[in-house]
Amino acid sequence: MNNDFENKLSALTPTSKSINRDALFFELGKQQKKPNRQVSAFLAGAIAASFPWFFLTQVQSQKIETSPSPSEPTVVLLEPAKSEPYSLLEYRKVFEATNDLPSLHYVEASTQVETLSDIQKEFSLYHQ
Amino acid sequence: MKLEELQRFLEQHEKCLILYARQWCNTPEDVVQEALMDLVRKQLDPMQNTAWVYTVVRNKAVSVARRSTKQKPMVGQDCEPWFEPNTGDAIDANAAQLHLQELDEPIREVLVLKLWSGLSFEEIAPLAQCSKSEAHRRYQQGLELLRKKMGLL
Repeated sequence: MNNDFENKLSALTPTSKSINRDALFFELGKQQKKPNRQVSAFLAGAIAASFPWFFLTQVQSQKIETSPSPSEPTVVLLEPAKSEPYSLLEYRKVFEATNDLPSLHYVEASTQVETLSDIQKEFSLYHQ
Repeated sequence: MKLEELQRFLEQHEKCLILYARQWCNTPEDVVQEALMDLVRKQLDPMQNTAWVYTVVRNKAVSVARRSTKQKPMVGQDCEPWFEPNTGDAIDANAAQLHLQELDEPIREVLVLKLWSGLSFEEIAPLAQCSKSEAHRRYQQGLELLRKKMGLL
């Protein structure tokens, strides 16, 4: 008897306004930033191919792979200056410009990346 | 912490956490947001620290309620619906909310944590600041009271 009652009660779905997941994911990206990186062992994101300006302005040295389809995300390596952590302001710019966080995928490289081949291997795990 | 882990945690616990915070304050989304920001900043694995998140949410919600000068931290004054409108032969959502609000807070807290958050009595006990057996007793008592109030005895 109690079981049936419990089941019916627990079947009720709590209602709520959603929390701000974008802010949460942004914070997660900040935490994953590794300021003391050699070649961007930390990174990054998948950024819609429809924002080539970002690619051109922010990804200076290594292009990993660009998607042929504008609807698919492009994985890019964010390459900060050697002595400085990557500017979070740049992330914020992207967020504000795209307003499409689901297209951004934070990825943390687990190993030190030294070569382009390393990077490609690392990011191929995440590329969609 | 990976994004996927956080997303999975949110799918499972976001609404439950908000319902839990709602037991004390009228700004539950803000409270849960802050607690999850803390979780992310500490880089804790969400699935391994579920009880920790609930504890933080509880503390923040109680704190918000205490700071509130406009009204007492009483759930009965919260006009927001707690549950989605139900379908089929489910229990009436409005009635369930009304009768839950009439329960004593310690009993209601255990019911919420058990029924909607799916926590074990072992996890509930420290949150409710009681023993595991006391948490179980409150749960059974709460169910009985609810059944009576809803005319299901």
